[in-house]
Amino acid sequence: MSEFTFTAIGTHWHIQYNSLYENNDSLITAIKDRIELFEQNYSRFRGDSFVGQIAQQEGVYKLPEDAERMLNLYRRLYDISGGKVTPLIGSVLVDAGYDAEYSLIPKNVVHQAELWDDVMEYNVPFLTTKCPVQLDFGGLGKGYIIDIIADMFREAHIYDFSINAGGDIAYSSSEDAVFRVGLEDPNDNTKVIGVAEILNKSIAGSAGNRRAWSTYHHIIDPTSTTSPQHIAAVWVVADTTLFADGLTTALFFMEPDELSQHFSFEYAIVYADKSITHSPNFPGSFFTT
Amino acid sequence: MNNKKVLISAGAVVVVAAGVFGVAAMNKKAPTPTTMDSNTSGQADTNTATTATTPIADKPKTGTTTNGSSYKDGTYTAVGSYNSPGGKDQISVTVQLRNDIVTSASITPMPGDPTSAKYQNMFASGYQAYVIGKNIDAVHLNAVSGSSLTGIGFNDAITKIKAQAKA
Repeated sequence: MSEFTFTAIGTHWHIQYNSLYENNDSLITAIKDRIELFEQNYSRFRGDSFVGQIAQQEGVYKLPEDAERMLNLYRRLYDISGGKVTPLIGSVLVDAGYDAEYSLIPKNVVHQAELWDDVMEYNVPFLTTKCPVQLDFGGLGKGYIIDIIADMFREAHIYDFSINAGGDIAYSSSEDAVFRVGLEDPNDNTKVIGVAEILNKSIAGSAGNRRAWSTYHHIIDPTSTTSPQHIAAVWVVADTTLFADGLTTALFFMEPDELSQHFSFEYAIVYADKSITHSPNFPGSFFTT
Repeated sequence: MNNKKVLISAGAVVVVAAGVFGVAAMNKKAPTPTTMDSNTSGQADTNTATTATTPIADKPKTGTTTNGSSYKDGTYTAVGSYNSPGGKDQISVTVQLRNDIVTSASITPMPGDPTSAKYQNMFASGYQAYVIGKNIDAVHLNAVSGSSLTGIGFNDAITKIKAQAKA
């Protein structure tokens, strides 16, 4: 098993793989370049990014090819969550202080997010904006770039790998060996409250305890402009990391039963009072009182 | 496997209710619709007293029964009766069913005497499991998922702010 680690899109990457080839340097370089391209397009923190350009000027934009699957999922989640899951959360995050300078100082007034159909029209491959819009792909973008890297491994005929970007993980094994993922205790990052066992699946997790400032954490309700406090941590296991990541975000705003009517996934939710609920077939176990 | 772990596994809740109070009508092995009642909208039909000896007629499965499932999705409430040393007692159990799986359950104590009240309240508060943390080193893991490793820029900013605050 070979492995390499690096830092990109604001998180730590740890990639392990089994390859028949001795030298995989070109693949590793290609992976890092691909992540760099993703950041060039979607980083909210870079003025020269595609997202940065849209934030400055309205117009008709031809989307990068990899935007389609993300925006399709965003639109589905937007519709079923009553607008709570939205890429237009970008302006709210900036108002709240999660801006390019990481000021972490909320403005006096934190405005609600604009409504999708009020400010933009999405017709693959074009996005037509009626005013400058601050998009944020943070609700599912990391998951999607992990899937893209997973596809690069498969194209290189490598089917045994784990791609871990800050705890969101895609895992593939040709030998049916499970991958044990500790579920971090939202109240103590030296502990875990359970273990998920994944095989040829992805897992994503989200918790409000770390990226928290003022009264906010990284997930903000676009209409109330407050961060949900009832959930301490959420994990989703799904076929792709894009879906695992996006559905994790959605569970902060929707009841799991409701979301299950639209998507196939397993989940575990730890509430603020440390009570836990999980889907009946969640692949793992929990440490409970 | 500890007891609470069984309890949080949906579907086991009803069995435990039967085990503790001997409510035969709540036994998992016979969860036929005769022990439950629901109105056509699938919402809770409260105060439906049922016991093993007074079955309610099976209702025709109409509406949105999911493919292949035996029971209609919805919220069901039933009141189970049992005899305690203090006399006849009742407890109300509400479960949500989806695709034949209990997705949530709640217990409403309806005690007839103080001793029953004590045991019923202990049971009602005990069916919900609460997580406890185990040291990461004590568990064999390939990786950890949570939030501590994300947001390098954010963590840097926090470090700077803390430094400024100390200056």
